[in-house]
Amino acid sequence: MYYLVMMLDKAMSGTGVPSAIEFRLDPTSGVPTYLQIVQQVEHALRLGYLKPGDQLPKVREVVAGLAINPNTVLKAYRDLEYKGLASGRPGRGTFIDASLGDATLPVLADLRSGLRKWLAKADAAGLDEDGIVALVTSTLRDFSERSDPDAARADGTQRPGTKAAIA
Amino acid sequence: MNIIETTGLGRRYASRWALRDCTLSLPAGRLVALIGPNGAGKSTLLNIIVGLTAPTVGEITVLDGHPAGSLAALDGIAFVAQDMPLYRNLTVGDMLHLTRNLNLSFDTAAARLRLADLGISEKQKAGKLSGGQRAQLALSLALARHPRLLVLDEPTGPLDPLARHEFMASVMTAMADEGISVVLSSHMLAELERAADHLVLVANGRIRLNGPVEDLIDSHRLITSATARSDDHAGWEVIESSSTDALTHRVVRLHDPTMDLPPGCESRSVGIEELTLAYFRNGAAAPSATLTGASR
Amino acid sequence: MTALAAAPSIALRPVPWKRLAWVTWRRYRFTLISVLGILAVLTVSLFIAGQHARTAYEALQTCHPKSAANCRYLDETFHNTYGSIGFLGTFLMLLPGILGAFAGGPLLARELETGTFRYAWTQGVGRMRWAAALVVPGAVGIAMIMVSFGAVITWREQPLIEYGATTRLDVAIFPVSGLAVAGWAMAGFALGVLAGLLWRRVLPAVATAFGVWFGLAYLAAKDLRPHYLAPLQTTSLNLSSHNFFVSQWWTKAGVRVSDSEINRILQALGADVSGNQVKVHVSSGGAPDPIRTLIQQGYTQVTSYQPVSRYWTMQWIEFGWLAAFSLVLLGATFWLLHRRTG
Repeated sequence: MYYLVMMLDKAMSGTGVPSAIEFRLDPTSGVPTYLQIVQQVEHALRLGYLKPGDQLPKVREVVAGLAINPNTVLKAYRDLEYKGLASGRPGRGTFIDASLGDATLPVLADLRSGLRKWLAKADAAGLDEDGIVALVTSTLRDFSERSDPDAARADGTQRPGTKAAIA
Repeated sequence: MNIIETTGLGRRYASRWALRDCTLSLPAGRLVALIGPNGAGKSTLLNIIVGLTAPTVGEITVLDGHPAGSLAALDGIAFVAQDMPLYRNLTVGDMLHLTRNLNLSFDTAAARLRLADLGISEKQKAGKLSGGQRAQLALSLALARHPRLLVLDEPTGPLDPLARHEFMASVMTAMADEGISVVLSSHMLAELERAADHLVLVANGRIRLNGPVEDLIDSHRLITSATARSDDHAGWEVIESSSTDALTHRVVRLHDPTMDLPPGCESRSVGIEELTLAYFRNGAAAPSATLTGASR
Repeated sequence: MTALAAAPSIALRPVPWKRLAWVTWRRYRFTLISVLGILAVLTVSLFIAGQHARTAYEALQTCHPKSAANCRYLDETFHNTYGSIGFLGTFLMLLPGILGAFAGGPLLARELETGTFRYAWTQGVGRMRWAAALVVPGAVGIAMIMVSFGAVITWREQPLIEYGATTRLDVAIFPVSGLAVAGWAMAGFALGVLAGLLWRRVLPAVATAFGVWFGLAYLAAKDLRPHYLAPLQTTSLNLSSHNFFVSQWWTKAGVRVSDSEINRILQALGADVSGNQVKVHVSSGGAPDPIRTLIQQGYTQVTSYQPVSRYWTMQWIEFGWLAAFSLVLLGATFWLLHRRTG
């Protein structure tokens, strides 16, 4: 039933420029709604679908499309502002300020193919999925600690939910 | 700021108390969900809030401290009653005109626009509308009054999923546009997961639980432990418990959400639906009562 | 948390009556059309019957000499055709109650029955003003309509009144004419409104209202109206039939004589006293006139009556108490409404 509702979700055919992204909720994930929105923005930023200057959907549009509480959307946007990823412009909406990583789509595709090769190697070495995740996580932590303070700060502000977005 | 304040509110019908000892402070700008089994006292509380029913005991003020049912309260509160009562033989246009004439302010243009968007013709008789259209008409009439508080009694009960989604989207849009406060009673627990800011659980005419959704989610957890080691803990109150020989599941309310759990306990958070069901199954029984046949 | 203390004293102006006029009109549109429709049909039939009665009465008036056979025939025909009230007359007597209950009964009952009170009573206007906008015009409206219709009934009965077949104080004319008809319509309306609030259902409310109204109308005709003012008494045997006869009895030497004694005397004279009327068998033509015989024996017939000149005084009295009764009922309705149902 709920799935059906989700399928019927449509962003209101609002006026003005359509936003670069549209939120989709997963009611079965157990992740709070506001966090799902935050994660979807971060995910889109990370994959380059959203760039600085892009406008996030207006609160009203999200609310009308998903039938969720406006306070939830406001909370998600406040969270993004707090993280320095977006900022609200009075009367106009919320806009992306920063990006998560400067990688462009071609670079990402290149990195992805490199990662595939590495995964094949790990698989051949007998590592299972959990083993791979554990190795990546610990290596990533080592890497972050040794790299420049800027990166460390960005990592530090990340909430537990962000990890779920990467996974 | 609070939109509704009650102290020791109670309503008795003959010898039965439909509602008693109800003391609440409901915040403005939020969607407050009133949930409870049928006959729990939800409608009684809503009827008192909108001034249809006078409390037998206790005090209630709404908006800025106006007594419920006073002219100022009526002016600022729009009510969409259960089953959307409308004059069946009036046309939609007549209902608009009627509501305009029964209120100090009424945004006829906005209501017309909304109804046109929804594809509801003003020439149609209110009695001939589908359930979803009736609900939308009732809501349009309520919203065109630009109320500060919108009270909805089981608004989505008789609607199909699409109509329900559209109805809730309309309510939420009004919240976003005008910052109105909403109090609604509902059985649709899953729907409330995305809609409610604040939860009030009513059972047997009493308030069982009341608070912001986030706080409630933070303070309730499902604890799983070996049955042999499922002793009571001073740091929590058990809402519902079910056990086999080996394992015990307990939905508990933590007195301090940041507390450390005793060793041997696994825990995870619970959603509104799970939380509510735990309270409902528990019913009027003592908080520590053990129930069998509960989930899992 | 401090909202309890902060009650701003901005006086909210109520919804203007001008706007409520539309609400009143929309609510009564169907009732008004129905009532006027019924009354229009009745008016037409009363007009036709009235015209016939007038023509017959004029023919009778212009017939000379009175003792001529054709005049006696006209007289008899007029009496037989128009003299009795008939089925329509009975219906007309009940009409203020029927229409009053029909207009007033559904007013609150339908709201409560269909649940629309939860819409109507939560609008900005407030339930008291809403109810006032419906109840007051309803009561006044039905009263005014019935006063107009009462004039039609009076016009129809005019030849019979002049002829002496009936009187303006008659039970079939007095309560449906003048001002009294307004009082009776209002009472039916007010009973309907209150019954609707108590029953919360249309049909039982209308039925109850009409039942109570009928009981009251019966009581008024039988026991109340003859005693609004102390009846006059006369020993004259030629009292004009324009007056309303309250009762008659016999006295002898200033002392009231029981009916049984009179009956004994009349029976001795060969009169049949089994029914309400004394029947004298005029068999041989030599039977004595019983009344004259009684008078000759020293008995005196006393008649107590209401003179027709008291018509308007009595109309005001009847209207007065009915209006007061209706106000009490409507007051009770508003009080109950204010206390809130639910």
